[in-house]
Amino acid sequence: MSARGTTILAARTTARPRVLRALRRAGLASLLALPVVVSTGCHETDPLESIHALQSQGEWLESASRLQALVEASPEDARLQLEYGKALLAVGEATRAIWPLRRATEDEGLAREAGVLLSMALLSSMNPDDAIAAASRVLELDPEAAEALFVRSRAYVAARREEDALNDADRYVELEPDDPQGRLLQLGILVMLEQLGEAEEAIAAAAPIFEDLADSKPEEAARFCVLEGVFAWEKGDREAGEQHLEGCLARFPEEPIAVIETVAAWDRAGEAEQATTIVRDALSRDPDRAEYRLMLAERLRAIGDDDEAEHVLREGTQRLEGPGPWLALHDFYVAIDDHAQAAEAMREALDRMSDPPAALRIAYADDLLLSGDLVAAEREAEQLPPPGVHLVRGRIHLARRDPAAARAALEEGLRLWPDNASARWLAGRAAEQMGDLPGAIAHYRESVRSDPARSPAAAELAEIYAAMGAGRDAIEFADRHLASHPEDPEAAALLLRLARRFDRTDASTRALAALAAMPGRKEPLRAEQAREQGSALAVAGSEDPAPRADADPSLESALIDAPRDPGVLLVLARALSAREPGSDRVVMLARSALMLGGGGEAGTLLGRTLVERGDFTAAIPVLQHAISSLPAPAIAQYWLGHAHESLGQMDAAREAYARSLEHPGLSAAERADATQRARAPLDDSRGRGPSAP
Amino acid sequence: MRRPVLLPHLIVAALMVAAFLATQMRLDGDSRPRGDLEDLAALAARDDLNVLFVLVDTLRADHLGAYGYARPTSPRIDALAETGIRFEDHLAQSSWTKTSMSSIWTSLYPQHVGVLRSTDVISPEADLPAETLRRAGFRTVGLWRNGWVAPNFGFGQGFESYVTPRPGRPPEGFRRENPGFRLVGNDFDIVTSFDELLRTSGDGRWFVYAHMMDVHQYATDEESALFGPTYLDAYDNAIHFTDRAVDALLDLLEARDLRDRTLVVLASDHGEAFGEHGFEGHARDLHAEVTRTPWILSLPFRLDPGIVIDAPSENVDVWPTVFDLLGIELDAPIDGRSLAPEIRTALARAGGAPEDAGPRAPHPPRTRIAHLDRHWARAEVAPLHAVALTTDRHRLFYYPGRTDLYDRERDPAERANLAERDPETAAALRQTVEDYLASEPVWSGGVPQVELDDMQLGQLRALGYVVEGGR
Repeated sequence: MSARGTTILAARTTARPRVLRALRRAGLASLLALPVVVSTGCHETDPLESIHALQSQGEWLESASRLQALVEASPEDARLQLEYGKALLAVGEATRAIWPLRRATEDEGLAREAGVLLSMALLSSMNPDDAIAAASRVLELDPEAAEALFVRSRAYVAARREEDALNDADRYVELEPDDPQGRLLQLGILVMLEQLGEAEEAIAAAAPIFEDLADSKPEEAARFCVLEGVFAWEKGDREAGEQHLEGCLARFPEEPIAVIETVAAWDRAGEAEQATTIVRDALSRDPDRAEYRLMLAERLRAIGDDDEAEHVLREGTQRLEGPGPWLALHDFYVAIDDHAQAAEAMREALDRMSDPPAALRIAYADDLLLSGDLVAAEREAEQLPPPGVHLVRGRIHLARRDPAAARAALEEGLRLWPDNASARWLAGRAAEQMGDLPGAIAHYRESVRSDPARSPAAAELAEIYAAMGAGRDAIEFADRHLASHPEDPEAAALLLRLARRFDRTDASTRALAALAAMPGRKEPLRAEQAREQGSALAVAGSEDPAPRADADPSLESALIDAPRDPGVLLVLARALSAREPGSDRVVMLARSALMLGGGGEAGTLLGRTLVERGDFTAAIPVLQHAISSLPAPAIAQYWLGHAHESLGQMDAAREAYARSLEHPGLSAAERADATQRARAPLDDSRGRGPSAP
Repeated sequence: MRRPVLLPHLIVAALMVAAFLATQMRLDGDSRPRGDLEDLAALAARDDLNVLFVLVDTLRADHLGAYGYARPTSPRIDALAETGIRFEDHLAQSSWTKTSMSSIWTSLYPQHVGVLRSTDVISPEADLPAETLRRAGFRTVGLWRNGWVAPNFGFGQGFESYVTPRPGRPPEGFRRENPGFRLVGNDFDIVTSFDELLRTSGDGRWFVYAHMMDVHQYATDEESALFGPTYLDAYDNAIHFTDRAVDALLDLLEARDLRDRTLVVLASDHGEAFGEHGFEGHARDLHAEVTRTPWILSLPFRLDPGIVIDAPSENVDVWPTVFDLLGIELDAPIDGRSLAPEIRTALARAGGAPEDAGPRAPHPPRTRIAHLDRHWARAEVAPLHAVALTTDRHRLFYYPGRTDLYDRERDPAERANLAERDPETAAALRQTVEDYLASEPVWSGGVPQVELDDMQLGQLRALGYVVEGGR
């Protein structure tokens, strides 16, 4: 039986999480990156000699390939297994390295070396328990095996056994006092354990070691310098921390870590202006360092100085080679919704790449499209491989008000790229504009499921469910939209509006709390109120449009503009019904109108169309529901009569025909037909098809 | 004196060899010899067998061709069934991976394992199949990508190596469901690890558990994106993609001439819902779409044709059956049972030896259990048990204060609740569930607990689960 896996990890206090976070950021995170040290110790066989020669030239991949063939031929050769495992580790194939290294540990003479490497491979494969076990086996053979202590300490950290990790780290530092990695490991664990006094001592003890690295490894020395400053600052001695960080900047002006961490410290202190000055200075010292330029542009954007941000990024395109600066400029223009400029920047970036990735080419076509240049967008789209070509084409069709073609193209693209939340949203819009509300809902729901933050699909659903009178669903999706767009005041305003409409004070509270967390951004609330008034006017203007069969093109166009207006849906459905009775499209439109509150009129049309299609069983409940909601349901009764008659339910049919005559609404021909059918003895023996007058 | 004539003898000999090979070889890359009841009986005596357990996460049976699905989602898995043993009426023990997998490994119903919540751990008292096989001399390796079977939940017991393969280069056009919560890598990383394991293992026996995750992730690539734009389509595409990964595992066995030395077991932990009962995904209820899973055994020899076991089976039966076939005795308490007798009977019939099979009798009545604590992610609140009790005739769903009853034969989709129409059956079956819920885990030391750390929570959220806690 295994004894592992039963540790009950006690909950720790988070009294000083900032210290931990700051120190982790400042360099202790680097401890998580496993340094793979691979020796090239020589083994006196010809093939291995040539392989070692390859390795000494850095040709690890080729050496791994040759070793693989040797292992294949001689799996019992432990030395080959060890060499193969080393080579796999060196090329980053840690999991694959496990198997040959484990075989190598079975050889007594290789157990120590292979065991350490196996432990490293296991740790890299997210298996700290086995990594601990492998290192422990090495330590049983040689309790002074420093590398095994080091890797086991790291494995204990991964297994959240910090006390054990510290014991090993302490022992490692005793054995290897001059190794900076060991010092950092020890320090990191002390901070995790919140033993800050001991951490301070460890910093002091390690300082001379890192001091010695200032020339040979300035990055490591700078990292440690910053760590000392952050430690002092976060411990509460801000002045000492500030001075220390300034000192680090002065000593290591070329090391980005010194700039980045000093900036982060000032930001944490709430002094963004000072932080920006440091970045600006760093950039002026080293104007070719892209990361400073990006940092500065981002900071300028954050304070609303878009002009200066643009200037900084554009200057980067003049100073620096390659596509990177142009991509940064592109992203900036996208962020400020200037897609024409974004397209130009992306074109420049693409021109600087020999084989640009499809994602960037899609982005370029998208920029062209959003800037209104549909012809150029289409030209680009045709050059794209699937699914890009389909997705961009779909968006172009949508912009050209051809929802059916848009939907077909988008759905073809989604077959290959089902997790594209934006494309799902667009497919939903296309479906809505075709009058297919259930299809639209399906796409919107799947967009939300894919990635609610990447599309407004949750907001669309909230609006649709609200239009359908489904308050609970409407609030649920408005909530989800706000959760995935927490910085968007429009999202909070939507929730607030729906909460008021459906009398949900809990949702109002959530919306107001979210808005309150967005200081100075209350305008959307007022905009929302204005929109509500506008919507009311729009709805009033679209009431009761007359059904005219010759108005299809304009009605289709009206549907694209107002896909959630049941009046528009109903008028279009009636027009189509006159021309294509019983068609799929009429069913789709009438059903959508019914879902959106089209009431008895929509139900009557849907029921009638179902009868015309021969789906009598489905038609009956739809018509009965329509009858219950209409004051004068003559037409619904008339078609209910047909449905019953067709199913051979003659008594019910006669009754429905008779009731249809009690109300106005039937045409003269329908009235005559209903009169005849209500009185005449119907053939009770079998159903018969409907015969519309 | 008659002159010796060589040619006719050569022709006859060649024809004999060809005829022999035709019985021993398959044309489509399956080199296993054809086998029969005798070969099945001989399995227990063989000392050269390996075991490959392929667990395809989130695989519903009714989306596989072998189980009657119209779409060609799974040609390779179907081929396994066509030349092996398929269990037609098979159920998983839960719709949540952790509970379901703990039942597969222990052959105990969830209440008896006690692993029902995010913090529960399989007891170290359990003697898991990997431990049994390791004692029997197998090299034991687990390749997993689902955080709910992580070693700190007790699932690594008995495995010499229990690892998540590092992600390699994904196939061209690789896509998966949720860009916001990505589980890194894909199932071909498992194939790569398996390849390395075989390369370096030599001749020793091994047991490999390959837990495939790409159906769960709705992963696909251009080659497998066959069926359309909806999420149900994407799910089918993912089955096709995973089917190729399974095929790649089998190809590795073929390439090393190990197919006739390997018993392949394919099963799943749960299915997936697409709104049939109001939910999408899994781990929310226990209806057929999330609990009817496949179970296929592919022996080290071909059955021609394959056989279908229609006796009721469930995931707790998987290891008792495998061990029975391998001649390994189990002495731990289990809820499952070996289906080996049914296999022998079916094979005897298929081989035209009804006298060996005995009279064809209806299988004995059986009651099967699936269980989900709907509060599995909320360790601080009381359990909210949902239990599905399946008899030959009915399926009862137990919820606190509510009972649903369905007729399995007339209503396999579980639409028409008969609980009010047939209160006596409902009450009797509900009592059975209550007795089950009153029972305790079998471990004397209770169910260990573990606190989820941030990294693990991150991994689990990457699977799309909303899990509370962390530190």
